[in-house]
Parts: sequence; C-alpha cells; structure tokens
Amino acid sequence: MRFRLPLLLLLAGAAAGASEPEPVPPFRVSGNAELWAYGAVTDRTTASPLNPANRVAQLPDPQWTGEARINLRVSRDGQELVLRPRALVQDNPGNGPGTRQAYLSQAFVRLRPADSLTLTAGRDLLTWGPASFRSPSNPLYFDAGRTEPMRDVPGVDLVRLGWTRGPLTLTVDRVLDAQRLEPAAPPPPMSLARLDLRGRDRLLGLVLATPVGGAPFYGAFAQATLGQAWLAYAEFGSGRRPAALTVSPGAQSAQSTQGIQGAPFTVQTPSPRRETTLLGASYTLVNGQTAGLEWLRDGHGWTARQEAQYFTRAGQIADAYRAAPDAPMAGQQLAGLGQGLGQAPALLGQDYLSLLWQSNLQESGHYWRLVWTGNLQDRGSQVLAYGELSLATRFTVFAALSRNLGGARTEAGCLFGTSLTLGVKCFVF
Amino acid sequence: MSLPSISRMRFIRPIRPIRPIRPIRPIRPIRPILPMRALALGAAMTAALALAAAPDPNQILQHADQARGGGLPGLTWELRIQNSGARSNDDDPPMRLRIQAADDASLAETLEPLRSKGSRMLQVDRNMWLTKPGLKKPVPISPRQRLSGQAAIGDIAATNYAREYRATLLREEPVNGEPCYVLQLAANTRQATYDRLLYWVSTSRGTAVQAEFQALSGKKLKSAQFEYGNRIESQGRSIPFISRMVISDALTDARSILEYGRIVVKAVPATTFDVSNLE
Repeated sequence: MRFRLPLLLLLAGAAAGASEPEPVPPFRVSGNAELWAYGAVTDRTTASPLNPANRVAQLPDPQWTGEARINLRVSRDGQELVLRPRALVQDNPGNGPGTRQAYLSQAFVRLRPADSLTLTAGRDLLTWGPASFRSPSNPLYFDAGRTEPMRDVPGVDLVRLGWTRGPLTLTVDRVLDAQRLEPAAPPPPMSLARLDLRGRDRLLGLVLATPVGGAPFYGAFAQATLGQAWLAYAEFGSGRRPAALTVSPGAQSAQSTQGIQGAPFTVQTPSPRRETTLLGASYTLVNGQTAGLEWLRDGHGWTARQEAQYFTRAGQIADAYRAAPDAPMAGQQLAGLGQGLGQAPALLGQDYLSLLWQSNLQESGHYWRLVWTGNLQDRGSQVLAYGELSLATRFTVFAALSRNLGGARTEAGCLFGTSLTLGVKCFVF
Repeated sequence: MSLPSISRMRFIRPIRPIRPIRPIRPIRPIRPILPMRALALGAAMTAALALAAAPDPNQILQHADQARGGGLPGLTWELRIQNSGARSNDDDPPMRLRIQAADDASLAETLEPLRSKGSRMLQVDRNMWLTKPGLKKPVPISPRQRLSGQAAIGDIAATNYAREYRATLLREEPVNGEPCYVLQLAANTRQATYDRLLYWVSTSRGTAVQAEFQALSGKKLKSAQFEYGNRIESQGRSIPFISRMVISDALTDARSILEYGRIVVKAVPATTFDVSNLE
C-alpha cells in the first residue's frame, strides 16, 4: 500500500515524458509555504458519559502545535505536478507523548492527453458539492472538514480520468488507498463515477460509487445561482456506512454495582442503507459578507430515543468506572466506552441546522466566521467563532473559540464545553 | 443626434462594412395637389437615410469587447489591483492575479499578496467557486462577491458586453476631447455583472473610454476609465488591448486601479475551467 503513491506519480510522470511532442514552453513553478504555531486549551466536560477522567478520548489540554504547510505546483501546457507536503509537531504537556508527523497531504500528476481529457494519478482530494456542514453526496468525505478551520484534510490515492465536453463533465476514479482518511470512511478500493451537468447558472452532479459496504452508493448534488446574491443548493446520498452502533438490547437493565454485564453496544457491519439529505442557501451582502443556512437530515443518525439510550447506557458505564476506577472491570468499561465513542454514527442525531456568517472571502487583510450548529433532537448546539487578522505582510494571527451548549448528555457537550485556540501564521513564500 | 462621419466608421469594418452616408439629394418640388403624401414621403426618406447611416450599436460593442478580451479564442494575462480610499488600508499591498479566460469562463489565481497566494477563483458563466490552500473543497460563491476593492469578478474576466447587454446609441459626446459614441447598455441576461451601463466608445479607435455602472433604478453605482497601452495579435491583426482600468465608487472616494500585462492570446482548454480540477 505504501508504494502505491510513488508508483502512481512515477507512472504518470513517465507518461508525461513519453507524450512530449514538440518543444514546449518552460515549466511554470508556483506555490506557497506557511508555518503555523498555535496553542489550544479545552474545558473538558467533567461529567462526560463517554470520557470519564479523560481516559477514553484523551483530549489534550493544553496542546501546542507547530505545522509547516507547503503547496507547490509545477505546470506546463497540459501537464501539472502538485505537491502538498505537511509536517506536524504536537506537544500535549501532561497528557502523554506528543506527535511528530511528516506526510504528503496531496501529491499528484495531472496530464491532458487531449483538450477534453485529463488524467490524474496520485493523492488528490476527492471532494465536491456545495455544502459546508457535511457533504452527503460524497461517500469518502462526508465530513470534508469545512467546520474545522485548522484541520488539514488529506487526499486519497487514486487514478482519475476526466472528460469535459461543453456543459458535461464525466470523471471516473479508482480509489486505491485512503489510509489517511478517518476510519469512518469506507475502505478502498472503490470505483467512483461522477457526471456534472452545468447550466449557465446551475450545476447538477450525479455520483455512483461501488462497492461501499458491498452495495452501491448513489449521490447527487445541485446548486443554482439566483440573481446576484443568492445561492441555493442541495446534496443527497444513499448508501451504507462501515458500521452501525446500537445499544445492546438487554444490556440496559443488566447493571450491577461492579459494572456492566455483557457488551454495552452492538455493532452491525456494514450499516443498513440509509438516505442523507442536505438543503442550503446563502446570501451575499453588498459588502461581500455571506450568510448561509443549511438543514441536514441524516438517516444514519439515531432517533431522539436511541440517542437518549446511548447516553444513558454510556453514562451508566462511566458512573461505574468513576465509582471504582481500579476495579477489574475498569478496562472493559473503558473499552466499551471507546467502542461507543469510536463507532457511533458520524452524526448522532438525524436533524441538524447550521447557520454561517462570514466576512468577504476575498479580503486579504482579515477574515472572520461565525457558525452555529444545532442538533435539533437533543437541543445541543455549538457556536464557533474564528478570526484571522493580518499584522504584517508575512504574519497573520488567528483565534478560534468553540462553545458547546446543551449539557453533558448532548452530542455537542458530551466531551468538552469550551475550546480556545490562539496562533500565528507566517507566510514564508 | 448628430450623424457620424465615414472616417469615424472605419474601425468597425473588419466586423461588417457599414454603408457610407449618401449625400441627401434635394427633394423634388411638392406638387400642390398631394401635399400630405409628399410630406409623408419626405419624412420616410429622411428616416430611411438616418437609419442607413446610423452605426449599429451592437457592432460598436463587439469591437470594443475585443480590446477587453471578448470574442477571442482564449487569453492569459496578469492583473495588478491597487485599492485606495474608503474601506481600504493604504498599507495594503497590491493584489496580483494570473487570469486565464475564454469565451464564458475565467480562472484567476492569486500571486500576491503572500497571505492570499494560491487562492483560485473559477467562473463559468454565472457559476463561481473559490478555493484557497486552507480550504478543503471549492466554495460556491455568488456573482456579488467582489474580487478586490471596487473590482467585481466580472470586471476581470473577458468582457462580452455584446452578448450580455442590449445596446442603444444615445448620442455622441467627447471625453477628454475625444469624440465618443455614448451607448446605453441594458442587461439582456441574468448573467450580466451590472444591470445597466452607460458606455463611451471612441469613434476613432473603437475602444471603450469610460463606463458608468448603474442600478436598475438608474442610480449611478460606480464608474470606470479605460486605457489601451497593450497590443495583441488577433486573426493576423494587431489590435489594442486594455492596459489600465480605474474603477471609482460613486458615493465614496474608494478606487481600484487594475493594470493588465503579460497578455498571451491562446486557446485555453475546457478542462482548465472544470471545477473538479480546482483543488
């Protein structure tokens, strides 16, 4: 698996060299490099039903991070090499060892054998669709990380053929590896086809991926530009996910003072087929600020009753652990909570609302964003405020404040209440 | 409305020759027994002559578009934008962009300032997306999203006013001593960046000299002046090409200066404007 990315790049590079016909213009090199340094403090939920004494999620507090993000592009007529190496150093004082990582977030070669054809090989982001909160039409990047300002979202190793003719674009991908994606993503290999139909002010995309959990995934997205300021959009997906977690029947009442008898949760692999729909709209003000609203209905999420059962069950285990952290059952209790946390649905509930208000994306001097996301079932919500301010040509400071509301037995508040991140970015070139 | 001279019409010949104005022949004496019919005949002849001589505003527009990238097979250029006045910081560095444009699409990549470097904005008809190195996927944006300062996204793309606006020739008037046609443009498609424009096109050079952008109500929103210090080769001819555009807000002193350079006329493949390739 490890050799697939270099092999893909090598093959594509060889193809580029072989197809070189006549003297062509010199390569154009462009890119940028950023150094980030930031620290984060988190107010962990003391009565968390999923993370007693921080033994399960092991949330660092504080955490110091240094990152180097380099983006390079070498291009010439019809040929392009993109490299996005990353280096990450993280220290978690008082909470175990830190992290040292260097990896290629993206690295691919793109060729254009004909004016209407592109061939891509390497590690590339396979994201699409207009939605911010989640992307239901994408089987790999349901959470594309748009709600987490600092997160780097890595690509997947793939070979892609793209064909464009007028308003039609067809792309066919073979995803070979996705080891850097979150475990919630379906394991490759998988094949994926996408057809985009573009109108003068709208776009419709149809997605077919197979196999995902042994069954095809169907997706679609659409966006329309209405007048000068409005955008309306939707995304839809139907498929299975790698796992579906439920509270074990019978375990609900099988509690003793020593702990929980039997497995607290049951995992079904893969999950049954479910549908997920997102509807959204955004409005751009005259000053370039944008306000947006998205509503998500996720069939993979739990009903209010199921979510309540989940937290009740986890709370029972957590209480038992807190009462006797050194008991023989403690390891099993933590493992059960780990399963409950790690294999829970990507979103616990079924109905979500997300409101976004952000400054003009084109302003280079500053940027800010306010996001409110609510789980309409458990009434928990999260408010995220993010801001960047340029201090000098090469330096920008940034801050992110996340506040979770709703209590320990809600999706938003089950792990932490408040998180504050402060940092600086240096633009090297 | 004054009629244009033949010499002034030369610049639009490559598009379609326009019939020169024929001298008005004296009308024969009117027979007293049919005064009304003669009057009607005279009026009709005068109108016909005027129609035959009046330049076609759409042709004027097509020609003016060429000098701003319209109707060409594809273009690549670099654009430098400097903002001043209200809502801008004098210390703000200029923005430098590399633009690839075709008939109905453009891709703008930010080269400067450093903190925005690598941002790419794709426009295909009225569909627009923005991506930056930190963004996880392209963000759809609306046409109202400004590029920088007073410059709208539609200002940097190849100009196709002839396709997007219905032109009416209002009058002739000089701008800085240069005779110009004054065209009123009304958007005939929702794709247009502005609802209405007044557009001054030099009668001798055939290039737009200035513009006034208006709301539907007719209220002036901003104005622009154009200079043509560049030249490009198109269909074997050397034609002037825009080198500088100054956009001024109508209500404040906010101003954006756009300077065009490194212009290459070359077809841009359709795949360049595919949002799938906008990583």
